[in-house]
Amino acid sequence: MNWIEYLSSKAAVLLGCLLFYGLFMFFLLTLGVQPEIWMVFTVLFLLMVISLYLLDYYKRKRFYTAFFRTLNDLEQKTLIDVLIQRPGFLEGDYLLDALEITNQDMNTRINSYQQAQRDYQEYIELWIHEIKTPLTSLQLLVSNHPHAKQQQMMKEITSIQDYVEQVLYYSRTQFAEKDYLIKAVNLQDCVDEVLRKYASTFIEKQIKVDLHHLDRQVLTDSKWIVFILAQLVSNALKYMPSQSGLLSIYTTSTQRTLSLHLDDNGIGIRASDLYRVFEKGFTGENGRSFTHATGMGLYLCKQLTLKLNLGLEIASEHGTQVIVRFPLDQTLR
Amino acid sequence: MSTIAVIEDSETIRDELIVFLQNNGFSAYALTDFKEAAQTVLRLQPDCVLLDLNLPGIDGNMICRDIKKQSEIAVIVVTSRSNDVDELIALNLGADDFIEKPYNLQILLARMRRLLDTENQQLTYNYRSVHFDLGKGTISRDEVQEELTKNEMRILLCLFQNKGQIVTREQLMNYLWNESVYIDDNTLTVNINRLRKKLMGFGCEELIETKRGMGYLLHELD
Repeated sequence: MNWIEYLSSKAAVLLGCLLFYGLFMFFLLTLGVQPEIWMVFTVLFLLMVISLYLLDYYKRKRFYTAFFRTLNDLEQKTLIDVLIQRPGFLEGDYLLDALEITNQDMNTRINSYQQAQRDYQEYIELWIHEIKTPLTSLQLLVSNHPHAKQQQMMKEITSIQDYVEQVLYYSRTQFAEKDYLIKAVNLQDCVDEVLRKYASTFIEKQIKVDLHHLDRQVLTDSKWIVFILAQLVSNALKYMPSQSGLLSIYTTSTQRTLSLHLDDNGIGIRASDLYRVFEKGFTGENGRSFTHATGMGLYLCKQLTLKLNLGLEIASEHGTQVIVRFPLDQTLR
Repeated sequence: MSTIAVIEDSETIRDELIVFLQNNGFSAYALTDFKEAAQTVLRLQPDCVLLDLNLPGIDGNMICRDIKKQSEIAVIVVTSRSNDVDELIALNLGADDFIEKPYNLQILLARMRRLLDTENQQLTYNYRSVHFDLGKGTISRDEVQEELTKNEMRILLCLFQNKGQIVTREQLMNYLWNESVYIDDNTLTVNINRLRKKLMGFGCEELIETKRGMGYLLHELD
């Protein structure tokens, strides 16, 4: 609040004072009062009006400045009414009273939403834990009793498992602050685990794999890395041609970064889609016309790499090239 | 033959695990009383225990600890929780290995075989007068010995483990991929041809029979 604003808000009263002064002066003049009395009255009147308004101005200005400064600095702005001192003038007090009511309502709602989210996430984790039992039973039953549709059944079971795992990671990236365990991880081991998982697809589609320079250690969460790699490999497999498909997985390093590359010679990603691949639910041209895609895979990868402080880049030239970057001040040689 | 004790709450999983283990050359049985699990195991002395951590009302980790306190019986701990912390706790309490449900069955087998005495696992066999040692990776007859490459060893081991059954190329490749050998179709052919050449050198190239359109079959061994 500056003095112009203040004065304009008091304009009516000031005008009234002026009018009163004018009328009173006219009245005195017509009464023939001496100029000295006239001047004394004017001076007293002016002094009183100015000092009263000055005091009022500064009292309000002090409060409003502090109020808006604190409001600006606060991260959780709904705490403002608890942090500001009562000003002692009517409008200020009313302001704080009103804010107290609205903020309390807001905070109560926020807390209940946060609690609901936590409850939901706990439920998801519990559900995932529970679903593993019938999934395991199913897997064992299909595996132990060979019959015509066995391979297809195993594929469908694997598919269910993949979706379940996706739910778990989605829940963790959205709601869990820190749910990872950083330790030394060998990239070759992670790649081995992922390739083992998709071995039958590689073999069936006769897609070759070319690995080198993977015997490297990084400091990160191994399960998350395996999940990310699995998503990337799964994507690559979907869009690579049978019989001539080739997936290259290797690392390169600079002084500051260890980069894990996944290059495939599939149909690639349209340039116009490239900048949107990490969006939640984005399926793009490939997703819509080639397979049934949820659009969650790359989104999750992006979220996870962000949480782990890793880089994730995608390019597409005669296929798709994905790079996961590990900052070297977090890696072991 | 190694015996495995299965401590698992779900009946279906329990029964099917036993079937699976028996199909793969192990003798297996299940415990149904979990309260006295550790004591029962110590009494029955299996070679390995598959222990589910999520038993109703009982902490599987404690069972593991009790078993390990009084014996060297191998314990593989199994869980549905996808948590690194659980793994650390289990391993700290003495578990020999840690596996998650749903099982990767091949991994389970491989880990169990690795844990158990390799003497139990038959790695040597004879065909006619040719001796195969898959542990050392050699073929020999009388004084003549030839080395097998790692891949050739693995191919023979796979055929051997499935003796009496036809093994498809796909099965062979899946087996190799599970051992982190990412072989492709052509390379497999090359490897098998090379292997056959070696066998021919020892006069037993009919050991690996090709069943047209189906796969390979190991000839009757001694």
